[in-house]
Amino acid sequence: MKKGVIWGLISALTIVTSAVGTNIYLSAKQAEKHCTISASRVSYTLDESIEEADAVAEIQIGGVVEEKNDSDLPKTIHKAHVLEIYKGSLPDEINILQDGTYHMPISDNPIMEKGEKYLLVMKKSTLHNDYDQLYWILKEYFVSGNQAVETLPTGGLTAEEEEMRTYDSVKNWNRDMVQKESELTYESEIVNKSDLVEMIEEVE
Amino acid sequence: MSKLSKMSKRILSGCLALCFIAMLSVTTIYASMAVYGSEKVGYVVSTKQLRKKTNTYDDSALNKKYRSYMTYGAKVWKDCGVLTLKRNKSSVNKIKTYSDIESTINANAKCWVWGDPANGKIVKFQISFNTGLMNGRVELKNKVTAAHEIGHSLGLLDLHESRNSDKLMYGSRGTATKPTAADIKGAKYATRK
Repeated sequence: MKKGVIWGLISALTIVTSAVGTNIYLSAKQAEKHCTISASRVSYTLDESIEEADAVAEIQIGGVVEEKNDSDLPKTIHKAHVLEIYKGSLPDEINILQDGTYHMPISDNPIMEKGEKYLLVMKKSTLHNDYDQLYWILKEYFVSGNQAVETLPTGGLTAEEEEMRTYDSVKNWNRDMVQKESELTYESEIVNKSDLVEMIEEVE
Repeated sequence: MSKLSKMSKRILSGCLALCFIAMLSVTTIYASMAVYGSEKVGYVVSTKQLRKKTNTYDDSALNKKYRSYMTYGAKVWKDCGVLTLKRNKSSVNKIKTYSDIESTINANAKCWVWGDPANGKIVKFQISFNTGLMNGRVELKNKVTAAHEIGHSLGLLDLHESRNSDKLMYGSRGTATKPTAADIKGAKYATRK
């Protein structure tokens, strides 16, 4: 009987302490000021972006080199390993300039993370002299296996882009792709990477 | 037998407590993710909202041209009865310009909230126009961009599906020049007291 009471008390105490803990956590959060950034972007079709680009390549993110907070819009510089080049010539290692930082991301463009692979349409940076091989992004697709999803919204799809084969994330389960989709604030079609590459090569 | 029964009771009460905690966490996470509206209805309101019908802004750092863009933006929102946005040099809401040609961002709106980042009132905003990209565009486009950014300062989010390309809050290459019925509906929700 006594043991029953003790166990009952322990259970009640667990519930009360978690409720109090949650409350303390939320109160602490309320004392902070948080910032979110929404952006209006230039629209590019895939064709337009490739024509304007200095390089198109699949890369793998190696990690953050620097976060720049000195201008109006914070930026992150990532180091990246080049896996496949579709336009231009690139060394094995390059740097990528992305708008937003880990603590101040742009709401529609999640910050790229170490190990992730992307297919990027890029322009060479001429403003940041301290980096030799620095590229900024015109179009960005997160890739995993033969699936690709646009992670930088720059306008609607052209008729040709709409013809690309798409994947249903439930039927064609890909953990990394589902994770990336959950980070997006909008719905973006998962397309067949081979079709995307074919389109890029046709423009080239 | 009785020992076994006591043990199972303890396990059961432990499980119940764990379920209760899990339910609390799930509810909190769900509440923090919830937004009002959808692409289907033509507006999406963030969990961070202005929750008032009048506000001020300080555009003293802008030149005449960019000031006129903000004036247009404030006017179209006022005309539809959503928000009165007045110029005031001492306002905490600053309007700025910067130049960055190595970016796809024409303009951005930063909104600050107190408290839970996923659920709070917007207490301050800053709109920044990228002159590096906007100077080369026609004036009407820039005026519409100002109106669009003001929409963000209320708590409206970008729309991305092409069926919403006629809405002011469409993220890029939209055709609206002022808030549409759907934009107004979302904005009225975001500015309710």
